[in-house]
Amino acid sequence: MTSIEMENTLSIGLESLLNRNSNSSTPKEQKTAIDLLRKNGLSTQKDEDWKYTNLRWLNNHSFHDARRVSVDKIEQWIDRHVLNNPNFADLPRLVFANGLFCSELSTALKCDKLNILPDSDFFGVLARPDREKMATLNYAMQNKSQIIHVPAGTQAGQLLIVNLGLNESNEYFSFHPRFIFTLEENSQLSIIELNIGEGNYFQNPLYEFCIDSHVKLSYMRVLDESKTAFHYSTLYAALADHTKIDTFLLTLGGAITRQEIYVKFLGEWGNLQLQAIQKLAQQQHGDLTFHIKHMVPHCQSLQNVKNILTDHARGVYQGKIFVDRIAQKTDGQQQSQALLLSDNAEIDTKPELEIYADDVKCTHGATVGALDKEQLFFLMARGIPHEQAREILVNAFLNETLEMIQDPVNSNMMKHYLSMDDEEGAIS
Amino acid sequence: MNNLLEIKDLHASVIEDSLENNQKEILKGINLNIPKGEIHVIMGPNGSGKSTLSYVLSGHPNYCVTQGSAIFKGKDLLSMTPDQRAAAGLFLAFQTPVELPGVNNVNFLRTSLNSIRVARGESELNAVDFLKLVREKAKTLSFSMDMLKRNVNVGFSGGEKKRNEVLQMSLLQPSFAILDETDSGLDIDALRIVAEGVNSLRSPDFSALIITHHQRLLDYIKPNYIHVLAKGRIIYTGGAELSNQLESEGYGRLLEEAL
Ligand SMILES: Nc1ncnc2c1ncn2[C@@H]1O[C@H](COP(=O)(O)OP(=O)(O)OP(=O)(O)O)[C@@H](O)[C@H]1O
Ligand SMILES: [Mg+2]
Repeated sequence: MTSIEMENTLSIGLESLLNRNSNSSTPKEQKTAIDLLRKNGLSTQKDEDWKYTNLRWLNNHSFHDARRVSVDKIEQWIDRHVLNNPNFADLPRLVFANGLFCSELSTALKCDKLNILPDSDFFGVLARPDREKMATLNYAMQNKSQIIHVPAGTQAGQLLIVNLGLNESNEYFSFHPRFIFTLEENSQLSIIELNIGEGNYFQNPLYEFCIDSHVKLSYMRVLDESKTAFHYSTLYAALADHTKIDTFLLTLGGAITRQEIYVKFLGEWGNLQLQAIQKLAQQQHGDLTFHIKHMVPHCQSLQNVKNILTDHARGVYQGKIFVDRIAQKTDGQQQSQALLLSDNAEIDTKPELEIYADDVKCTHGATVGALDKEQLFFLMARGIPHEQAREILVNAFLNETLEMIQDPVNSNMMKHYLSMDDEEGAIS
Repeated sequence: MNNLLEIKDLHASVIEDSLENNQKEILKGINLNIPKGEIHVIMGPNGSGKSTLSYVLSGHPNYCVTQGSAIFKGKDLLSMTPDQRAAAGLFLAFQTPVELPGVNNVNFLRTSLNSIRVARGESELNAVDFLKLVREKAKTLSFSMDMLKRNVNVGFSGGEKKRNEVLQMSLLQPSFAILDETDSGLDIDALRIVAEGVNSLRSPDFSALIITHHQRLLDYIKPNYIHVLAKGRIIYTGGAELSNQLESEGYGRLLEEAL
């Protein structure tokens, strides 16, 4: 297929999305995005950041507006995945099903430490739909935003966000929610976000985090989408001075997933930790694309990515650190470690440093390997069957990252999703 | 027949990618019978194939058997996976135990013991009972609680790693133990503790193959036989007194006679 033909076929999938937007009163932002996509299409593998992940699957489906899910049905999922889990049961929560806000089950509406404005008309300020095509698509398909605001000085504690994708039909749904978080100075928030579901859907969320001075934010995202789901998300964050951001992404489910993150340090002494684990099997494809921009001096960013890939799974990690001319004393680190558990698994990593300041400490390292044969033999020689021995070593590989999660609720949650619930055998 | 282990004409090679089809033969026809309740010792020069024999008996994937057989408790040992061999009662104390970063020692020990119990059709030990057992064993081996809490062998001294091997042995209660230079790198007290660990297992149902370079361990553990392994073959077999002779003479005369 020539590239022209490929572009044309790509636009078939895109057409089915864009045609859903009727001619009714379309906000300016949305209209611009639609025009942009009509003119330029979506990303292709010729685009710089799209070498390893494509949108070809888009042609195979025509996409329908996601149907509203009954509250009863959503409740069943909340029972199973939230109330049954002691880590989550008591947390204030926001619930979305197929991108639509479910106020009945969103207990966080009653939380006086958070201002929540569901379905707001405001599009946000940080996103670059002119640049990132998945953000363009989000703007083109969605004219409402979910705004979560933490007032100055507020210790808002924990917030659970549940994004459910549910489709019982054979056709594909798509939904494009947009979340805007604004954290005013000296505030704190700890977010746990679950992306879970069943059936065929394409989720294309957009996130904005506007973070003011001295804010502490922890953001844990679990991607455990349906086996046939596509998830392409874009996240933008702007950090003021003295911010402390801990982010943890866990990718488990979904046919093809891509998580783009764009962070800009705009105030000094900011600290960002970006940890990610992808555990993929069969034909799964998981892409992590992170761009960190140091625009001011004295900030620290750490990216630490681990891929565990079995069968024909493919992991992608593209990490970029940009350091502006004035951003002296920047400390930027990138680490990628991949464990390939089969000969057919594949990892693609692209580390990139673009540095214009001279007094900085930036490092990147990448390792790829199989399980250590001697370690595996040792465990088996102690009577542990092969599968279990393998699991012990995989968990050991992950433990190092999990140990960096300070909050016990967060760490228990991650272990739970990785089926590494604490063994009772721990000695005191 | 009362043999626990019967090794006949065992030949084994290293599987090395770089060697392709050109496999390097290391064991060149080992014959060895170990009856129930006996302790045998293997001594021999560096590189003669002692560790290779212990690896082949426990199923290390780097080696392939090209000829011969090993029958353990009447069953074909060589067709079993390493975990099946362990469940059948075989235990190898490694010459160089590996480190397992990120794997807690107590969790490891419990998983190991319970795997073997399950394979034998016994019930798993719960956490409380297991902790009681491991504390008791650790105490008799002067193995500190701190070392139990740490990751397996990570940051352990050479001697501490060896003691961890003996702790595993005394927990798993094998019917046949291969100790590959477990006495190397041990201080005098540790050596005595290790020897007591072995002696405490001694019974008509326990046999051992002890690989060592030193006579000292044999002051504490009286073996039934001592075999000398050289260039992939057992070239000489004698009684417990042979170690004294080797200590003073070295292997020179035996090697010459064997040629
Ligand atoms: N995995 C391997 N790859 C290549 N060569 C090997 C391998 N394993 C063993 N060998 C070779 O086989 C020979 C026997 O090694 P082995 O470790 O069995 O000796 P050993 O008798 O235990 O010696 P030592 O007393 O030093 O422990 C040596 O020449 C060694 O280099
Ligand atoms: Mg050896």
